[in-house]
Amino acid sequence: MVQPAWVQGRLKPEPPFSRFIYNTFFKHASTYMATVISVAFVAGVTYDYAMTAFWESCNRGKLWKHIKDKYKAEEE
Amino acid sequence: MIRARVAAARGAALRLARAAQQGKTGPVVVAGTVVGVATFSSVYASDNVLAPPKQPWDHTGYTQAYDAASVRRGHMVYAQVCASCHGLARIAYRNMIGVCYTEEEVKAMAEDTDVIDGPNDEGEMFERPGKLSDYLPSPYPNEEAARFANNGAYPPDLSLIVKARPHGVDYIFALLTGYKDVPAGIAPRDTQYYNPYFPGGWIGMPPPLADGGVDYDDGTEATASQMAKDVCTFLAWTSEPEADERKLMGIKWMTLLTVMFGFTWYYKRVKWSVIKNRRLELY
Repeated sequence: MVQPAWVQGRLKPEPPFSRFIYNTFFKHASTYMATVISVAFVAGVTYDYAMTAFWESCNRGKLWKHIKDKYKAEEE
Repeated sequence: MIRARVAAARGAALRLARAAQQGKTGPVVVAGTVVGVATFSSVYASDNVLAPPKQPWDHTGYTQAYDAASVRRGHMVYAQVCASCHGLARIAYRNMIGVCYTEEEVKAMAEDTDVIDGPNDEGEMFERPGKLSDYLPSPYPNEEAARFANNGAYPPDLSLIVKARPHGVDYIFALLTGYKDVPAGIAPRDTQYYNPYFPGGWIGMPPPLADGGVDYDDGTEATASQMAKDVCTFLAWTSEPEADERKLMGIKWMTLLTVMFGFTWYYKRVKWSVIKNRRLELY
C-alpha cells in the first residue's frame, strides 16, 4: 500500500487550524461565496469607519460636526 | 502674453549673439538664463504684477478639511461686505447647511431675501420670500448694469473665483490686503486704487476691508487680515465645495490601492518564481 506523502516524510502534515479553515470556508462553493460576501461587507464597513476616524482625528475641531453645538449654545 | 515671451526670447537671443561676437562669456551665461526664464517660467514681465506670497492655509494638504468656523465667518464677511457688488450665483442656500450653518439659520437667511418667481396662473411674475433651494441673489441684473454702477469696472461673480485666478486663495488674500499708497512718480487716479497684486496695478475696487468692518458672532476680533483670511477660506469652499469629501475619498482609495499593490507584487513574485528558477539548457 502506498503511504500518503506526509507519512513518507515528503510533506509536513497539514496543521489542524489550516484544515479547519479549508473545511469550513473553502471546501464548498456555498460556504466560500458566503465567506467572500460577508468578509467584503464587514471589511468594507470597518475600513470606512477606520478611515473616517483618521480623517476626523486629522481635522479635530475644524469640521462642522465638531463645532455646531457651540453656535447652538450661543443662540439659546 | 505669448507675443511678449517671443519678443523677450528674441531680445535675449540678440544679446547672446552680440556677446558671442565680443567674446565675452559672462553675458552669455546671463543671456542663457534670460532665455530659460523667458521660455519656461510662468512669471511674465509683461504682466506688470506682483506674485502673491504663499500663505499657510489650513485647508491645503491631502488630509486637511476646511475650517468650518472660518468658512462661517467668511460668509459673514461676504454677506456684509462683498455682496453689495459681487454675486455668488452658483451657491444655493441649501449648500451651506451642515457646512457652516444649521438648517434653521439658513432658512432664516433665505427668507430675508425677495426672489422673483413665476409666472403664476395669470402669467405674472411675482415676488416671494427666498427658500433653501434658491441661489444667492446677485447684486446686479446683468454685466452692463454692474459696469454702469462701478465706473466701467465689472465686479466678477465670486463663486469660482479661487479656481479662476492664478495662485488661487493666495492671490485673493494678497489682493484684499495689498492696497498700497501710490508710489512716487505715478499720478493717482480718481476712480481706481493702486494695488500691486492686481495685473496692471490699478483696480476699480476700493479697499474693501477695514478693521472692525464685520460683526462676527463667535467673538473673533474682526481685523482686516482676519476678515481677508476668513473670506478667502469661504471662497475656497465656494469654488470647491466637494473638497472635503474628495480628500476623504482620496485617503481611502490611495491607502487601499497601496495595499492592493503590495498583494499584486507578491502574487507576481509567486507566479514568476517557477519560471525564474527554471534552468534553461540549450543543446
